[in-house]
Amino acid sequence: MRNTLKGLVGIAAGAGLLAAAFAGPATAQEKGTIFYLVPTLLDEFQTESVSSLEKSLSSIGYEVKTLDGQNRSDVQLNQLDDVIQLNPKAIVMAAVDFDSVTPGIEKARAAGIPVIQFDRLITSTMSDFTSVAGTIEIGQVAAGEISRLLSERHGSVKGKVLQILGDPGDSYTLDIQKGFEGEMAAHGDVEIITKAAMQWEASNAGDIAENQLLVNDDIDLIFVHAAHLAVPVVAVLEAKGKQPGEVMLVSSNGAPVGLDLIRKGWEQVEVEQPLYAQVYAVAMFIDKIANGEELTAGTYDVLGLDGVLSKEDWGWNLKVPGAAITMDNVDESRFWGNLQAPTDPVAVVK
Amino acid sequence: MTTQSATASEVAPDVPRAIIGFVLDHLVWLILFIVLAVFSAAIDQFFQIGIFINILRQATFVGILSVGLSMAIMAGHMDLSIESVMAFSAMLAALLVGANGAGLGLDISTPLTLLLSLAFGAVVGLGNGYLVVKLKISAFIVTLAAFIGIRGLGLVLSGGRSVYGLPDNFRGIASAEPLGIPVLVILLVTTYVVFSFLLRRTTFGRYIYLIGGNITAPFRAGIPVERIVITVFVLSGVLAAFAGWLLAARTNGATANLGTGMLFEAFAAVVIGGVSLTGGTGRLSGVFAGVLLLSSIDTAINVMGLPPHFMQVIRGGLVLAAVLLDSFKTVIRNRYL
Amino acid sequence: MTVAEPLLEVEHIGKSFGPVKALRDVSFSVRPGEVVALLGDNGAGKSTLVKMISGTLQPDHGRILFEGQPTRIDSPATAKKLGIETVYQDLSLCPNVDVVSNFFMGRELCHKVLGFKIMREREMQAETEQALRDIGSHIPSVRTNVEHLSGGQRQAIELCRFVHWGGKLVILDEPFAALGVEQTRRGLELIERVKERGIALIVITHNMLHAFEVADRVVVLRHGIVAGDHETATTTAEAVVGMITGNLMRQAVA
Repeated sequence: MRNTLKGLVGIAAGAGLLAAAFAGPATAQEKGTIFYLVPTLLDEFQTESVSSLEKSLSSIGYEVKTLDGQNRSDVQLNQLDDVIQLNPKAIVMAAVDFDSVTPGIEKARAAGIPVIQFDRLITSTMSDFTSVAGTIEIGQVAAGEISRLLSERHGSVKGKVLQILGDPGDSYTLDIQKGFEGEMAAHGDVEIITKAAMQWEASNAGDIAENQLLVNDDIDLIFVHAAHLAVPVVAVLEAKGKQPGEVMLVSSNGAPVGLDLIRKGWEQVEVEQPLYAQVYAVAMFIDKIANGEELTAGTYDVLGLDGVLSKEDWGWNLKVPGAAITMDNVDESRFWGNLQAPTDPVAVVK
Repeated sequence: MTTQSATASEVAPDVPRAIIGFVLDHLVWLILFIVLAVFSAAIDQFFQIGIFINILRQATFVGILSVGLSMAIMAGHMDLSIESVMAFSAMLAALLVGANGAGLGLDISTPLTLLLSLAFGAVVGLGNGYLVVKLKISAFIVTLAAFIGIRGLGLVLSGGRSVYGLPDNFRGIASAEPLGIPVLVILLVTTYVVFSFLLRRTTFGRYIYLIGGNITAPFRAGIPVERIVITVFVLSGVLAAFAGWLLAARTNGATANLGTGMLFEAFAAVVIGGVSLTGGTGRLSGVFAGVLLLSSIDTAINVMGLPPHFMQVIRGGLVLAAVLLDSFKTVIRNRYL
Repeated sequence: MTVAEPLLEVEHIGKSFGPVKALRDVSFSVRPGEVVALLGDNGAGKSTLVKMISGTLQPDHGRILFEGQPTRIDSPATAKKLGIETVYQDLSLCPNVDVVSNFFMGRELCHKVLGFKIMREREMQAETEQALRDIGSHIPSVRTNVEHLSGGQRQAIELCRFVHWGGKLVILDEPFAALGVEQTRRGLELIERVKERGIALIVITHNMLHAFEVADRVVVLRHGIVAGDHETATTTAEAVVGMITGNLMRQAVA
């Protein structure tokens, strides 16, 4: 019997330790708690968004707690349900799946909690604030850069471009495509072949590049919609004995791997998704959103970029354009791909 | 006649023995209550009705999956296909009536989508059961193949795209809360009550335990062993499909990667709940406590905003603890009962 | 011995497993209320023969008549329906459930409600306790799982099952292998009691003493054929040993 008791005491002690580990330091800041529902932590853009959101929001007096949705919309819905019970100042979220979380958003807003969409635009229900990169604009910037690269090679804007989208169910990639193809329509001499990498899966992008380079050996340039898709493409080019720059490469989103590829010469241009500016935009307006104050449309200076705030069908929307990164400016710290979160004080909008 | 039980009865009087027995049988519940008490005391804002309802609601999908898995394991087999069946069933239902994404937006009544989903689950279960029973292929292999194949089938069906925008009466299943109790919770509890009854009180349930204990004996006793095993696989498939249909309602559609990882959550819940992987033992009430325990921990992590990386580590630790506890139970039982 | 119609007749049956001929050509019969001891060395084909009568194996050729009718015993369930009970050497118990569940295995008492067979646990428990008392067995609680019982107690459950359910023909495969002296004596008594109820028994055993104590007749198998079939009154243990080992086969048959 004594052993039994010992065992039970052991279990109880274990549970106590667990609880102690859970309790942790909980230093509440004066303005209250904000939850950030990040869709996944298996992606550098997302992990960098976590650290810069926590940094900037805590610098103006909020406590930020981050929950990982593990890329599962059911998990994110559970998190919304739980967070609603805690009555935070606001919920910042990047939806795992654009429409599946709408019931949760509606529930939170009905409970009086402001919901801020970060990076992933949701148009099927109202949110209190949306901070996104201008994805169509990213496509347009990419089109401008690609036109420049093609005319540098051929003397005029012509040639063959392989465009590798991300998952075709993701409006992010579709918007870039829209912006890119809209601009390129002016250049009839450019042939664009478009393929999609399902699930944003890197190996799918590699397979597409391999097959297309086989049937179209005159491809001048490959445009991938995320830097991590460029990695397997470079591997394919290397395997085919190509030199850096022989087949040009342009990517959008500006992840660290993309910047590395620019430094190595494999990639010519990376159109950055302005992560830090998107984060600062949230921090600039958070006081007003949390207090339910009305915003004013217009153009705001967000970390040196022109952010446009407008009222859309889905609520207030702030769009920050992305910048083109080339060999010349690749080391500038304002690009999130260098992972040096800015220390500039947040210019809170009064 | 000198036996262990005879000597034990001389040492310990009957009443404490009965208490020890009861506590051992329901140890998971004891642990669940301790954990909830600790969470309530240690975590700000945890102790409130809304949180407890969330714990139950969030347990729905893994909870229903675990019922089918438990039965398969109790019968001495295994069903790895449940997660994929769930995901496919969600995709099937969503695809038919979903208005956006890859959805076809057909004008089909919501009950019909349920029937089609369940029928799909039944067909998969029948296939699994047939291959296991008639061709005598290991259930592990058969259902692993189904696990992989059906996940792929979902991708084929949707082209890898998401579906969303379900009719209001479909979505309503997951959001309705009559008298403040979510329909999902009512369905979860009902499933457990019905299947506990089936397992403990009917011959069908008794035969599952017999088959899991020593398949030769019930076969020699003239029990239709093969039919029972096939039925277990069919039920497991149907339950998984039901969970999937509910998941579609909950997420207002379906994505290609819906519910990934739930198989292992279900396994964890089943093991924590005291169902031995060797078959023939365990109770659904324990499994229910196991499911709630996992759900409580997830919820606690959400409420605290703890770095989410801990979640998997804690789960792994829990499963290990459950297995250790199980052998610990056997030691106590042999010594005192 | 009254000459009654045979209950079970086995006619020229044979069974091969791949190249191995387990049974070549076996014929014998059992009358109601008769105890037949089935003897033979290891590998003589006893188990195969029993499996065919109890429905777990099908003969390659030959036929089985039950109550005069040619019968196909295609499963243990069919055998049960005919009234053939088998007690196997390796015990047909499920250790993970209690004594009652084992005792009533495949014969659960139940109410039918909406197509569900709901078990009448209390009645089954009472009946099990009664049956165990009847054969003089001591199992402290019939709600104990069988895994916690001793080998002798387990054997008692098996024997109790055949005494209780009986049927028309009981096959006992090495029933006393795990029993002590006292329990074996009680087992032999049980066989007598079952026989008195007009139930036929086939007892497989290695023990010549037991065979001569309970059996009316001995049937000896050797290399897949019947090497001898005699009333116990007209033969001796020595002669039977000879048949088993093959020394006295001719003389015995003559």
